[in-house]
Amino acid sequence: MDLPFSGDLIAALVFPGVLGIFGFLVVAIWLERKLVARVQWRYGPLYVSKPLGGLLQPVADLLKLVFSELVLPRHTNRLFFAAAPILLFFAEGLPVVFIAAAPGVVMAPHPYGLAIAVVLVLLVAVLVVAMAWTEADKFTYVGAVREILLTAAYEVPLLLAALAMFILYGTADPYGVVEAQSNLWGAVLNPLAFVAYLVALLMATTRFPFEIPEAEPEVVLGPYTEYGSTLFIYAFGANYVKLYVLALLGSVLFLGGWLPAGGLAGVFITLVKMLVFVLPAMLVRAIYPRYRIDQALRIGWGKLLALSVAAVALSLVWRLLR
Amino acid sequence: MIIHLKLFATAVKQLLQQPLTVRWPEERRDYGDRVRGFIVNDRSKCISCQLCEAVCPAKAIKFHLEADGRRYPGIDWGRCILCGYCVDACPTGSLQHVNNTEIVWTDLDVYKKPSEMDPDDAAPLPGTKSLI
Amino acid sequence: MVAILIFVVVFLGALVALVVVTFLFAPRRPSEIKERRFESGGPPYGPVQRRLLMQYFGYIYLVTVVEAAVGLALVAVLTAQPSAPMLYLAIALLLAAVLIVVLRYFKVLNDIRRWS
Repeated sequence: MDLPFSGDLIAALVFPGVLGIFGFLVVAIWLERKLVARVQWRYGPLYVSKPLGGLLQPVADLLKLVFSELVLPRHTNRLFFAAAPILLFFAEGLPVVFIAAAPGVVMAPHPYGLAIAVVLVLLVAVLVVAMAWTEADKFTYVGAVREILLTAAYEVPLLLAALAMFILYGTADPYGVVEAQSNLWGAVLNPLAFVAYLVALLMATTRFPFEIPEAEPEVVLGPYTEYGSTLFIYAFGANYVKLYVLALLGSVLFLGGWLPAGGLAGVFITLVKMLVFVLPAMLVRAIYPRYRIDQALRIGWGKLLALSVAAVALSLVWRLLR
Repeated sequence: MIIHLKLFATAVKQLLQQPLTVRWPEERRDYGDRVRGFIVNDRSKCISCQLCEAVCPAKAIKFHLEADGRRYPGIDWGRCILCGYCVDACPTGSLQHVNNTEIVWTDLDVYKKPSEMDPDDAAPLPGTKSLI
Repeated sequence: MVAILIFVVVFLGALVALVVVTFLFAPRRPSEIKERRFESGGPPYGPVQRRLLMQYFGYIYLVTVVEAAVGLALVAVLTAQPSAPMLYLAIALLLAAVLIVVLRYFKVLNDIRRWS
């Protein structure tokens, strides 16, 4: 096969890889601002690139941030202060290595790939706390504690939702998982797991009803308070990268991945299916107020846990019936 | 569960609405011709009675001696609340509102003497988009 | 394997390169106030580290246990022979136990001050 066009290189550089991550950052920020603006009867960003509907506004913002002054506060360990957001952003993007976007378009085909991706997603919360700790600030401290508690709320339901789907398919290989959905999508076979995953996704990416660690009126920006310029992009964009990864994972786990097609068309189908997860996550900002941390914990260990356990039970029933 | 679906349905319904805001400065809101905007003084009618200074609740109006030997009101736009009391109190109708609410200055020194008040600054701005 | 290396190198390289660009080309006007700890505009006072909020600590105890159990279940499911009813029974029992414990202590979990 030709080297520049082999599937794993496309995966590394274009779609689930580097270009996809940065592109998603731009498109997601634009989409969020635009959708929320339209719900609130506003126009949203239009100043830059009006014919495109302001699509280049996030690019302009990011460029502005890149060329603004890099301030490393004196009271912190400067090396760790600069390295923490880079590591965080990188670690949030790392799970895409194991997720396939189309047949062949995967960096590391692995029989337990999706399980590894889920675990990698869950591991990242440690880095957020480490970042908040390096910043050594009262607001980041409160944000870090909230992040820990919120992590305690969503980890088990997310794992249980993934477990339900793995029981249903009997495999964690991306190809095997998609093949098992050739007749019916996972979201139809096990809607409970789908809903549990969606809510856990909102919690994991701290989207709106659970935007507790970075609650602006309470703790300035939570774990990202001290950062500016490029480091702010990384610290704040890491959540969007997590959303990207979880949406990709969800589209493979629940929506049959690239299924009606293969090859390059499959990549586009996966992209469209990711919207099923991304659009609600963008829209909730205009819908919900913010929960308190104890309410979020109660939801996570109450309704959401019950829902995800029921999802596993449903999967067990499906499995035994088959 | 049902309530969350309803919330999403409401949001999607609002998504299809036309925007209510205007894209300033390309289009301006038309508030009609009775807006309490900039206050201009017609010096030919002004009789320097100082009623406007007396009635101003924000103490924004001060009188200044001008070159023609008479006193005219100047307005501190940092204090003015555009209440229109001076316009109501004016016995000859020389103080008038203009249909222009974009009161913007580039420095903090916003007291304008009568001679400094360029009439072009306060020209009426026609709105293009009606409120309803 | 090569693809992973390329991904890591390009991704990390891009991230670091952007920071270097900022470091080299961004205008710099250092001042004492900028390098201070952020305290919403006021002068920083007091230590950052303070007593940890222990109110909801029960959840963290719970998550360490339950997550390990669910992880074990994940590994068992993925490495088991196809159609192993005993395994599924074990998972069902495990989750039932988790549910019962959480249901029993749900009120107590919400607040550490009710522990006794």
